[in-house]
Amino acid sequence: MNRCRESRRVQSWLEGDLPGEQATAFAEHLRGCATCEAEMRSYRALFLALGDSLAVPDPGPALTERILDRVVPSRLRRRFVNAIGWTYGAASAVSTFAFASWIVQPSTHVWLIQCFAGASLRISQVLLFAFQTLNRLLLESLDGWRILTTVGAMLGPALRALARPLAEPTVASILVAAMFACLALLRWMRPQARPIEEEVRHVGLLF
Amino acid sequence: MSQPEAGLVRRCLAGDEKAYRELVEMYQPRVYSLALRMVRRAEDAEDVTQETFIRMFRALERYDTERSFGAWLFSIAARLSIDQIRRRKLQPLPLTGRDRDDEEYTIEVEDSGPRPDEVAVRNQEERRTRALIDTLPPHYRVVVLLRHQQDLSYEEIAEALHLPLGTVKARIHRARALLRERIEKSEP
Repeated sequence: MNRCRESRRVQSWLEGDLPGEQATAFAEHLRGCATCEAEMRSYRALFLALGDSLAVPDPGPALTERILDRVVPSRLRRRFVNAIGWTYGAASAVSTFAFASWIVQPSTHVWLIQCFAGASLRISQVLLFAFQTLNRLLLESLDGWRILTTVGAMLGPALRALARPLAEPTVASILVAAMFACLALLRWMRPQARPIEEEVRHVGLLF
Repeated sequence: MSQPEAGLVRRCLAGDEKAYRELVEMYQPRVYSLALRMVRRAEDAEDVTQETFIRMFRALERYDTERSFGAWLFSIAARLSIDQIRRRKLQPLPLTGRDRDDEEYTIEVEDSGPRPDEVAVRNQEERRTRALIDTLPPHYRVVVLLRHQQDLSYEEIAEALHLPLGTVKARIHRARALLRERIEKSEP
């Protein structure tokens, strides 16, 4: 078929894309040109076929929900929380199982006892050091503020008055003797383990 | 942008979750149909549709309301569809080389099979046209689909595909010429 030069306008004319004057001129041309008219009919059929053949069934609400699960903020948060929850749960289960498997081993038991003993010793040392340091700080603070000197100056005469009778030999001898007597008394009063007596035979009183 | 879409976009940005659903329900069938005709497999089309909406909502704050919302959304869908085709290497068999603008195009020979009876002529025609569209190279197929399936104007297609208006027109005309030629060849 011989092609007409005007046939390149067919598609534009069918789509109404030609300006008014050109569209009118082409319509006039169509009346007298069998080639262009045939081409126009062919393209018109193609346009109709394209419109009919491209329809696609809607995939439905399943896809909608799938999309919304990925874009709606509250669903994303829920999804994130679920993911965190599952991860945490799985990690906890695995950790618990691993820890339980490890702890039941005999070697682990010994190691743990050693660890606890070592830790206890360290803690005791640390606490003792802290206590001593605190005491020292307290005493030095008191000394720094002249509190100990003041208290000593106040209590010194009273203590010297109380200690003066001890300087007498007679009184000192009596006190020493009393002290030994007290010690002897305490020794005599201490609890003693009794020897096991023989089993006492049961005596029936009713018959 | 038309009023309902502008309102929906504003409501989405304000955190209204009903607007998310309305926007998805409004455009999902169209995006899916474009994706299905582009990638040809329902599973891939669903993935492309989902990814299109995810990207659209992520970029919603940067969306220029002066642009056509449909064109913007279809530009994302078209890009993702072409990426999917490239990943799957869905290339039809080449028959012809280069056209006048040195744009490479390919078309696959379609065996039309035996002539259908008169009752099934229409269905057969549709199937044949669909098959021929599927054989178009992606850059031709996408313009035909945006024009004839999504009813976008040439300007909107140019905006969606970031192409000059003249290139879009040339591609659509050339794609339709190829389709017409193939249909005529396949007819006895």
